[in-house]
Amino acid sequence: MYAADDGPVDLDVTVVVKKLAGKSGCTRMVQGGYNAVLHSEDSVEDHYMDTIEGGKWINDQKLAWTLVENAPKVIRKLENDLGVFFDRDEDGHIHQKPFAGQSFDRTVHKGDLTGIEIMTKIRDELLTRDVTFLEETRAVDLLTRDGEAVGAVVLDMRSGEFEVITAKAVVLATGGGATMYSISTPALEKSADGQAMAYRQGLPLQDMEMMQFHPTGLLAGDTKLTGGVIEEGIRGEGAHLYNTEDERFMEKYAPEKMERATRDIVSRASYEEIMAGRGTERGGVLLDATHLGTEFVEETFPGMTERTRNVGQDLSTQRVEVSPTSHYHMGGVTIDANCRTNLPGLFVAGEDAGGAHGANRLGGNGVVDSTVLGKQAGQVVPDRIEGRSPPSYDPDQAERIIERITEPLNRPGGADVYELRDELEEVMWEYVGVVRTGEKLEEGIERLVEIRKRLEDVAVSGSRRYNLEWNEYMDLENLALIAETVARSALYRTESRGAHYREDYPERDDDEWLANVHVRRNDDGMETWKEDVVFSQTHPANVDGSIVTVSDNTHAESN
Amino acid sequence: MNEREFTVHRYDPKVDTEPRFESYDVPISASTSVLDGLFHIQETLGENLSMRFSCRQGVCGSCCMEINGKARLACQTPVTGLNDRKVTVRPLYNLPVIKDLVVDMDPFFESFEAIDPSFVAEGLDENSDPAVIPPDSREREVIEPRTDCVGCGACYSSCSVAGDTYLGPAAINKALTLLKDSREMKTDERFERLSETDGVQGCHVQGECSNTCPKDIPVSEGIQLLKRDAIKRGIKQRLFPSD
Ligand SMILES: Cc1cc2nc3c(=O)[nH]c(=O)nc-3n(C[C@H](O)[C@H](O)[C@H](O)COP(=O)(O)OP(=O)(O)OC[C@H]3O[C@@H](n4cnc5c(N)ncnc54)[C@H](O)[C@@H]3O)c2cc1C
Ligand code: SF4
Ligand code: FES
Repeated sequence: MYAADDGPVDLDVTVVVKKLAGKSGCTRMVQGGYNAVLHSEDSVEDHYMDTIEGGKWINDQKLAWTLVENAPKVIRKLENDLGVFFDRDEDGHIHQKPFAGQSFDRTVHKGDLTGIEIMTKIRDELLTRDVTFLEETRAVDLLTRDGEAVGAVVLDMRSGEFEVITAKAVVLATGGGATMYSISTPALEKSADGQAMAYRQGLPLQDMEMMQFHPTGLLAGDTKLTGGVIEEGIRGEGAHLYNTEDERFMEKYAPEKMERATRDIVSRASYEEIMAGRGTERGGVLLDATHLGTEFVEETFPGMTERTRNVGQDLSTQRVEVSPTSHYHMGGVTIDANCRTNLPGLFVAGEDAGGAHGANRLGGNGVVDSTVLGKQAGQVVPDRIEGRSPPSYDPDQAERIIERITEPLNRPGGADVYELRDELEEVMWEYVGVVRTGEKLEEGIERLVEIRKRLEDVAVSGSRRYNLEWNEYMDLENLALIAETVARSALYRTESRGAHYREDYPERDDDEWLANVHVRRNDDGMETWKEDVVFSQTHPANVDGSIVTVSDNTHAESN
Repeated sequence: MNEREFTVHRYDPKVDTEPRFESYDVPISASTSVLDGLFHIQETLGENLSMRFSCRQGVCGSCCMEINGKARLACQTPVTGLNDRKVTVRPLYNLPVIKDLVVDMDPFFESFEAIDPSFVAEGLDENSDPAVIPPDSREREVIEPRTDCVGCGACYSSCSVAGDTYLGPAAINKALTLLKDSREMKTDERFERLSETDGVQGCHVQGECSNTCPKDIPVSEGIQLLKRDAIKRGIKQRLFPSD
C-alpha cells in the first residue's frame, strides 16, 4: 500500500489484497510504534548500530542503513502529506518513548493504536487516487517468461474466479507467515504467500531460521485471541515478569536490563521457566503492571487493557498470563536496498523480504521496514519499467497453476485441512520453536514433509464462492512449504544467535557464523548454503564504544 | 462443557432465493468470543461458513455483524457477556450481502470518498518538521477521541437513514477530524460537500451511531457540532461575503 502511495501518480497501479485494503495485515495492528531519529541528540548512526547489534551482526547492512536513514523522512511524510498525527509531548512536539534494545527513546506512536492511524491515512489517500483495488483477491502464483516476472494469477475470493494480471513490475508484500506456530500474533490471513511464490520461482530465501518470538503473547485458552501481543512498551514503562514461585526471573537471565532486554532473551527466559515447571497450568508466566497504577495502565495502554478484559483478565489490576508467541519473520526473500530480487520485474518489500533485521528485529523497526521498503519500491519501480516490454505470459503456466489450486475441490473426500493446519502449528511449536536441537529439528522436518504429502489428499467442500476452507488449503500449502525452509535453515545453523537458539550449540560462534543461511528450490528438493556477511558499512572489529564507520555512498538512490 | 446455541444467517444470493437461519451447538468458555464460536462452526462442524476477519484484536474492523440485535465486532464480543442464552448472528444492515455474514462494504467506503478524505496541508512536506500542536489544544481534544474509528460499519448498520440519501455517520466523523485539524486546508470544499442534502442535514439525530460504535466514538455529537458550524458559516458568509 505504501509503495502505491509513494509511486508517481500517472502509473497504472493495481493493488491486490487478500482481505480489505488497509484493513488487514499487521501494519494495521502495530501497537507500540515506529522508530525514527527526530531528536537532535539522537543520530541515525546510533539507530543503525542498535539495529545491527540487535540483529547480532548478520543484518544486510545496506538494507539496515536504508531503513534508519529513511525512517525520519517517512515519519514527516506520514504526518505532513498524509495527515497522521502522532502523540505529542506537552509542548506540542512529537513524543518519543523508550522501547527495548534502544540507546535512545526514539519510538514515535499514537497511543497503542499506531497502526490504525497509519493504515487508515494511507487508505484514505489511495481512495482518492486512480489506483485499482482488487480486494478479497489473493495472489496465487507468479507468472514468468524467459527469466522475467510478467504478472500473477490471482483469485477473486468472492466470485471464485481466477484472473491473470500482467504487469511490467510486481511488488510482493504479503507480510510473511509467522502464523505457522500454534501461538502467534499476526493477522489471521497471513500465510507466507509471497515467500512461497518467490520460492517456487527458484529465488533464494535467507535467514529463514530467524523467527522472532515476542515474549508476551496473551494466553487466554481456546480462543483466537490467544497469542495476541501485549506490546513491549509496557515493559519499557516498567512492567515485571514473574514465575509461579513469585520470582522476578529476569534477574537470573539479564540482571542489568531485566525486562527491557531484547525479545529473544526475554522469550527464552520465559520459555526456560515454563519448561522448568515454574509456569502456569496453561504454560505461561505472569506479567505484572499493577504497580504502575490502574489509571496509568488504562490510559497509556487502552487497547491492551480492553483486550485482556475481553478474556476475563485485567492488565490494569491483575497479573496476566503470557507466553512467548511467534511474531515476526526476520527471514525472507533476498533483495537489494531497492527491493530488487534476482528475478527481473519482481520486487519484494516488508516482512516478505529478508536481511534488514538479521537475527533479531528491534521493536519499532518492523513498521519502518514496511513503509521505508514500500517507499523504495514505489520510487524505484517507475525507473525500472520505463521502456520495458516484458514478454507476454504463458497461458499453459497459468493453466497449471489453476489446476493445482482447484484440485482439492474435485476430490470427493479426504484429509481435513483444519486438522492438518493444527498439526503443522504444533509441529513447528514443538520441534522448531523457541529452543531447538538438531535431533528435534530432524524429526520436525520429517513431520513437515509428511504434512506436505498429506496435503495432496485434502478435499475441500462447498462452491468456489467465498470459500474459506479452500482459502485455508491455499494458506496451508504455502505455510507448510515455508515452514520446511525454516526448519532446514535452523538445522543448518549449528550455533545460537539472536532468535535462533540451539540447545546443542548454545554459544554464538563468530568464527563460523557471521554468515547468512540461504535456501532455494532445486531439482531434488531444498538446497541450503551459507554466505558470509558483507560488512559494507561497519565491521564488528571496528566497533569500539560509540565509534562507528558508516560509508556515505550507500544511499538507496545511488543504486 | 458449557454450550450455546448459535443461530446463523446463511445465504448465497447466487443460488438461494432467500436467506435462511441455521442453528448450531457451540461449546464455550469465559474467553470464547462470537468469532471463536463461528470458527468452531467453520472448522470443527465443517460448515464452510463465509465471514470476514483479519486481526481478531478489534483493530481491523472486519468482523462487524449484527449480534443479538446490535452491530458489534464479533472478535471483541465474549459470548458470556451477551445476556441471552442464544446467539443470533446476521450480516450488517444497509449493505448488500455477498454471502452468509459477509457484506459488500463499497457503499460505506464510497461515502468516505465523497468527503474527499485525502489530507492536504499547505507548507508542510517531507522536509519540514511536523506541526507543533500541544495535545491539550482545543482542536486535538475534539479530534483525538474520533480517530479511533476502525471503519467497521456498525454505525452505518444501525442508522435508519444511511444510504443513498445520507452519507452516514462514519464518513461525517472522518470529515470532522479533517475539518478541525488546523494543518488541513480543504475546509471550504468539505463544508460545501457536507451542506448538500445527503450531508449533515440528512442526520435525524436518533443517536444510534454513538450507542452502537464499538470504539465509543461520540459520532452523533460530532454530527450535531458540524451542523452548528455549518449554520454559523452560512450566516457569516451572508454577512461578510468576502471573508
Ligand atoms: C500485533 C502486532 C503488533 C506489532 N507491533 C509493532 C510495533 O509496535 N512496531 C513495529 O515496528 N512493528 C510491529 N509489528 C510488526 C509489523 O506489524 C510488521 O513488521 C509489518 O506490519 C509488516 O508489514 P508488511 O507490509 O510486510 O505486511 P502486512 O502489513 O501484514 O501486510 C500484508 C498484506 O498482504 C495481504 N496479503 C497476504 N497474502 C496475500 C496474497 N496472497 N495476496 C494478496 N494479498 C495478500 C494481507 O491481507 C495484508 O493486507 C507488529 C506486528 C503485530 C502482529
Ligand atoms: S464510527 Fe464507530 S461504528 Fe462507525 S465505523 Fe467507526 S468505529 Fe465503526
Ligand atoms: S477481526 Fe479485526 S476487528 Fe474483529
